[in-house]
Amino acid sequence: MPVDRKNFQLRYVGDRFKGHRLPLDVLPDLAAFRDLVVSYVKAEWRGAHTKRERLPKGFEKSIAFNLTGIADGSAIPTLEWDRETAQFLLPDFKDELETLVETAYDRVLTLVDRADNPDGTALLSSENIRALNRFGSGLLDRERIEFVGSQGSDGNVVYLDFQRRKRLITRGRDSYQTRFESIGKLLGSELETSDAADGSIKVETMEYGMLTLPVPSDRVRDEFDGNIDAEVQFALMIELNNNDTFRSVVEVFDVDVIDGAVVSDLERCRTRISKLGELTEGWNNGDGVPIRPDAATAAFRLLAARPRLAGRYHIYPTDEGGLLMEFVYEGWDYGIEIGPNGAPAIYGVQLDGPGEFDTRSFGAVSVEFLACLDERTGETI
Amino acid sequence: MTVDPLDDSEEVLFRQVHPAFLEDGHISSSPFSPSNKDRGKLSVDRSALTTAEASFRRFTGNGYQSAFVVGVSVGEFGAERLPCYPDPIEATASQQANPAHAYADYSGTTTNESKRIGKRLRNKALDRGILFLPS
Repeated sequence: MPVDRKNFQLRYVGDRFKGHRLPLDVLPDLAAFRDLVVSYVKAEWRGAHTKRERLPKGFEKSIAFNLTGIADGSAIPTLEWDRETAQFLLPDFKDELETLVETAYDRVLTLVDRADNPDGTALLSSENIRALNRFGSGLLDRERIEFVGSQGSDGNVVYLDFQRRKRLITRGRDSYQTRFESIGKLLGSELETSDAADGSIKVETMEYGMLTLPVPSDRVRDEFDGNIDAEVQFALMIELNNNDTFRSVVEVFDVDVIDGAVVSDLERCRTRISKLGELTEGWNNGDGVPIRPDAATAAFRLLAARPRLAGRYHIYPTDEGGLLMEFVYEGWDYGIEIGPNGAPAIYGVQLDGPGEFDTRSFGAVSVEFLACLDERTGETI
Repeated sequence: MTVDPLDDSEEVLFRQVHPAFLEDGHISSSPFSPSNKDRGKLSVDRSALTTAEASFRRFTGNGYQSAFVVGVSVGEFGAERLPCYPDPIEATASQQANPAHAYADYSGTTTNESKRIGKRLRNKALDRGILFLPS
């Protein structure tokens, strides 16, 4: 796997990364990538120095990566191992460290390359797992991180995507971590009695039932107390079992009571969908089948995933038992047509011009669909 | 027998809007593209031969539901490369005759294209306004 050892380049591939863009929410990946490499450097060191009980003082800090730029093409952050830091902190080990970093990077490439081979990778250490749980956690379906300049066993560039990541993390384990964004209903809140402790809120979600989210006590007191039954919007890192059932909340990135106007918009949309659910066979002058439950559920999921768009939607039935959600956004007239099976398609036309957005179809209201919607609207919450 | 397309680009063609395609004063684009049963032919009534109110009365008199009548001109259909043809309907035991009936021919468009066209024509119709609203 020939690679440039001076710089490590990660190419982010996917619609979100077109035009040289790197969304801020994937930046933690870069630190996680460094941690993953470091976890292997430590293992290599320990293997080479079996008589030493501890790592040299300053060992971990000596392996510093700097973000030196984002190269052209898709978003390609370039990370450079900072040799000066190593020279300063561990002058006696600098050359050895350089070799170890190279070897560790090879280990990472091998690990990812063999993700699809159930017998091809040694068990991961807890340190490896911790880094992997963060590296690529924001990847959506059909997005991947390519290790620029690498070559895998199939002759192609080595890459990490959602499925490979899940397979790696869950090998030998029964859970993995992933990002989860949605809305739910505030069921209650708790303030710890001890002075410094955090509080928590309980939120009922459509996807995973009731979740308990740790929240600082002052926020519980100032923002959530007195808002029982209010809608809250959140972005979390959660741990799921191999079969995608919920296990735990790992981290709360963001949680807020939704603005009253948005709640009102959501209620209007939900009421409309429920009302359309009363349509009977032949509702459209002899044609038209009733709205199918899968279509309604998908529409509710879409509302939950991007509540701030709710105020823009006008919702109509389709003859096939689906729903058409139409909205205008910055000079474009869009339609999200949800089929009777819950599969959405999005298309649009420019209002004051000839522009067209050709239909893009998806299997579900998935992260991939939401990424497409976000790209058109700039709304990510 | 070959039927010539309508050639007066100013002629407005009436389209009925089902109540389910209306929400808070907004109209779905669905009535402006044919459904599967239409087989590429979007039914309209010609303003050269009837009025918006008469079109509404005939439609609802045949037992169908309509909230109101809007219109798209022959020229606006033409701008979307959709020719319009006269298609008078004779009376049957259950339906009144409709000599003003015509259709916009979507047979040259894909389903996806017709949905985008439907949006543009809906917006044209909204610009023109409601042509008949029952009191």
